[in-house]
Amino acid sequence: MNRTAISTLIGGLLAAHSVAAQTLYPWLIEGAVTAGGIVTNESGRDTSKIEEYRDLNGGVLSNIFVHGRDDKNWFDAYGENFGRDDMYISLRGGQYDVFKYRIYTNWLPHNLAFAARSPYSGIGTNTLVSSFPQTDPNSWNQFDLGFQRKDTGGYFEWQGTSPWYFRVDGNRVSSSGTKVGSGALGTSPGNGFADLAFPVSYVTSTVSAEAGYTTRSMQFSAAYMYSRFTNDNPVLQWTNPFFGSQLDSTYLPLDNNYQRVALNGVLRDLPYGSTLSARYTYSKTTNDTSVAQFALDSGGIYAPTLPDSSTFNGNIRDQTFSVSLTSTPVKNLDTKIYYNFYDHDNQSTSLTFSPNSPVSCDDGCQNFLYDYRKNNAGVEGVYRFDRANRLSAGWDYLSIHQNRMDYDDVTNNKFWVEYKNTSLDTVSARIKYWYLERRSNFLEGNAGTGPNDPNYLNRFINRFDNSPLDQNQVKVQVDWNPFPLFDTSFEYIYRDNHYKDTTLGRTADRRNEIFATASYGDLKKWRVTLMGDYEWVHYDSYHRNISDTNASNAFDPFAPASSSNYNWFATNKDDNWLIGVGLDWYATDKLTIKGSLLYFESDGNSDVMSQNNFGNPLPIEAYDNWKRTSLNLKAIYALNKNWSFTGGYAYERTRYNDIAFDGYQYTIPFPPVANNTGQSYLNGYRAFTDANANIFYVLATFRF
Amino acid sequence: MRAGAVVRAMCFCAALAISAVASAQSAAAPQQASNVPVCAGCHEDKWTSIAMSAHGAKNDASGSMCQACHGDASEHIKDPANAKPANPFSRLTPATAGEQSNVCLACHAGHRELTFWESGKHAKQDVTCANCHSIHGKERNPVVAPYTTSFRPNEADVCGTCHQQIRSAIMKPSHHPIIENKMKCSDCHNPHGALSPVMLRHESVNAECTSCHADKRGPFMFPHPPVDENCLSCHNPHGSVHYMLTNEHVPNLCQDCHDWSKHPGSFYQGNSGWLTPQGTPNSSVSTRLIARSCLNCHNAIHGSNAPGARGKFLTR
Repeated sequence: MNRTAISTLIGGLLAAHSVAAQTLYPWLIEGAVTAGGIVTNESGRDTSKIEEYRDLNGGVLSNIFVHGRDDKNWFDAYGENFGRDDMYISLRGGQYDVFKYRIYTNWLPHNLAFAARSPYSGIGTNTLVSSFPQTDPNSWNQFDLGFQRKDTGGYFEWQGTSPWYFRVDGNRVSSSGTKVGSGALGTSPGNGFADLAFPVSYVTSTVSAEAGYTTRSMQFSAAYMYSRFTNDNPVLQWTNPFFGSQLDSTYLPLDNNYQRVALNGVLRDLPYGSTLSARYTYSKTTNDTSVAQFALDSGGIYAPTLPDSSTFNGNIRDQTFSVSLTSTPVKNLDTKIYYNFYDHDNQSTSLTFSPNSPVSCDDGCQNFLYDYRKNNAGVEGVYRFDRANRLSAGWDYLSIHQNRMDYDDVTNNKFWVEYKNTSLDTVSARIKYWYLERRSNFLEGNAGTGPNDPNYLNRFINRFDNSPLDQNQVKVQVDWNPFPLFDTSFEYIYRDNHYKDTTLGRTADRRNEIFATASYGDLKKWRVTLMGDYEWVHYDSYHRNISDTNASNAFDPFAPASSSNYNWFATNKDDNWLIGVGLDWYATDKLTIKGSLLYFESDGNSDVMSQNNFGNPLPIEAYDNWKRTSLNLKAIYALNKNWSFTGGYAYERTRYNDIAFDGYQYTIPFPPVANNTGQSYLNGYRAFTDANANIFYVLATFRF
Repeated sequence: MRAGAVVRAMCFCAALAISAVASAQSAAAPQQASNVPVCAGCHEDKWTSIAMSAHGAKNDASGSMCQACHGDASEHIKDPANAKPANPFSRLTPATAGEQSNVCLACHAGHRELTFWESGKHAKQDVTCANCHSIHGKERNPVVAPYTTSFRPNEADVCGTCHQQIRSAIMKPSHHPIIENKMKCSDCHNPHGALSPVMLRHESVNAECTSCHADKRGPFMFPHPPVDENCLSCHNPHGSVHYMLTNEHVPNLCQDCHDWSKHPGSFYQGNSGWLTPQGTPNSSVSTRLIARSCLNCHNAIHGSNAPGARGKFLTR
């Protein structure tokens, strides 16, 4: 929808407001217009992390707000950052109890890397070409990796025939630019890879219509949604130096269609203060494509892929049903009983690629179409001893039946209990404990013929998302206001996951998290807020390194370790903490000072051990280590009731260390080796994001 | 082009304001009626705070809207000092959370956003409408957040007063653009109640995520089953110290499920990166640890439409 059409539509709606209804009271209009400028001084090789979702380029900052109403009509018009990459405009309005509408546009930059490099030309298109070898990264093409997302849409809701209502929604989300991607050069990990800039030219258009009947005691509605995703570039072709510098293909997201029907119903004021709620949804996601008949392979030859079908028709159907009954069966006791059903049915084309194809799997490649059915039921109760004491408890049961190769049936039982006390005027405290027990039917217990068969290893791989689990969690929350003008809040969370019967895979994870906030001061004069948190997260896992697949008992983790085949154990740790302070100071009746300072730090590492210290285990000391500082200061001077002026300064600093990026080079090996077809080519994404930014802005605001 | 867009957009809003004022002047009311309630005689600041809202629009000289929430004030008008209305929102004698919410629901219960209020967590946890919605305007604590180019108040500041864990998560280096005010908590969650767990607007986690990330909907020729089942197997939507909102650093996240001969179960450790422990360039740098780790080659992690082994192993 172009801007001319929007302006015309808005003008028409406003005129309709004025003439369509006789009003008793005159229009009241208020608003403000703000304009100013921003200047940013940045240092750093790649400042994209600081500007990830913001447009900090120097230029004009602007903001308009207009709000108006009479006794029948109203509107809110708001716009900020006009013409900038993070622009936002919203117009809402309507006639009370008759209709309402909204039109908006919301722009979001997504900056991923500045001054990235690539040996390829054609960045941003669906064809990336180069002549290899490329041994001098300084001669490569420079580009910015990232994309712009624009979401434009609106709704109209008619309430004039209450209790019936009708509503239509629509929006169009476009994304354009580039995003992170890469491609393996050969078919073995030793053949290298190349960072590629995937072209992004996506449009998602969604429309929905809803009709309903709604009163105080009941609500029913039916809604239909249609959403279409399109991608102008379903295939990216790129020069692959490993396969004869011919054009290889990477397959990007296909166009898809999504349709959904939803039925909702609520009955209130039933016996025992009950409310019965239900929802049914049916959705279908479809797409289709021709199956590639050839794939680039050794020697630069396009080998036949030999699929048993020339087309793939994607078809996934999801159905859900939810029902909930909340009641007060006896005085002071509130209960809720609920049931949820989920059915995920993948009816897409089943494909097999003949093992006779050079690009197929040894035993043929068949696609695995995942289906599941979930049944979830539960009951909760809250008993109020008195106004200040309440005890809650609940039980939740989940059963999953699926066609996964490792687990087919999974059941979860979760029990929880919570006590809340507010008997003291100045303290509110809550403590909650839950225990989750997951039990799963493991299908691979007899996998493989013996310890020299690779499939034998499947007997011991237990994937954490489905493996048997015992989970304990405790949450404590306290709000305390010991004296006037001072309040604090404290929260502690402990969670422990123990993945039972796991030989290989994640065996446990634990987290301790503490959060605290304190605020002091008179909100009309000055107030300061302190916040902080500390989080400690550990993941334990056990694995098997197999370098010699021909060795005896290679695939048995209980076999004696050798220098080629041994088990290893890792504990990944994420310790992070955040501290911040904020201040609002109404220094005079005209001058307000606002400030905020945040510091975040995370220290990650991985402690590794191995049987007999095979592999020479060395810990990983830097594993997503961050240091971020954000300072935000502004002064607002109100010259009079109409004019005010704002001056602001912000400082941002980001530092990142990680084994995967410290000492980064653009090629592997480095220095690059000519005529190495398995050389890897990297573009610098995430590698040089240490940066500082000084942001200055001044604004003038006129209120009316 | 950008300057033109600025001028056009600003002219559009200015024209809107002008036409609104013109309409107000031209559509002169037959009588200069006033909906200023009698309550404003003493409680002028309370009236001023709602004058421009729907509550103000529906008020009248007798203060019927004021009384709809604060109770019958007929005696209070006669004897303001001694006869107080039965005000459920009074700090001195507050009503229960349910009673307070029922005041609002008396008018708003039929709103489509409140369809599943009774089934939601907030109703169960005695969170009242007034905990989040400030009808008369409320001074809030100073905002502690990085600089943002947005002028609008951030909804997350309200939600974060209770949900401290989430407030901290959205500040982490990898996050959805919530603190930048490009997304709101209510884009994914319905704070007014829902039948879905954690009050998601959609019926499942994946339906919620793919409502924006439509490129991940598939269907894929070679899907990645945990992706189909639950995005949260790998991602934390609120924020993470790991890139792309993942729960754990790669390759460990992948190796927690994939342990096989050769490189899936390979031992990546302190001497697998760009530098040796001594800080010198590492001649044995592992392409499976550095940069994007497993995703350097297995790029199509959410599913692939490539043929044969390229698709099955998610490399194209």
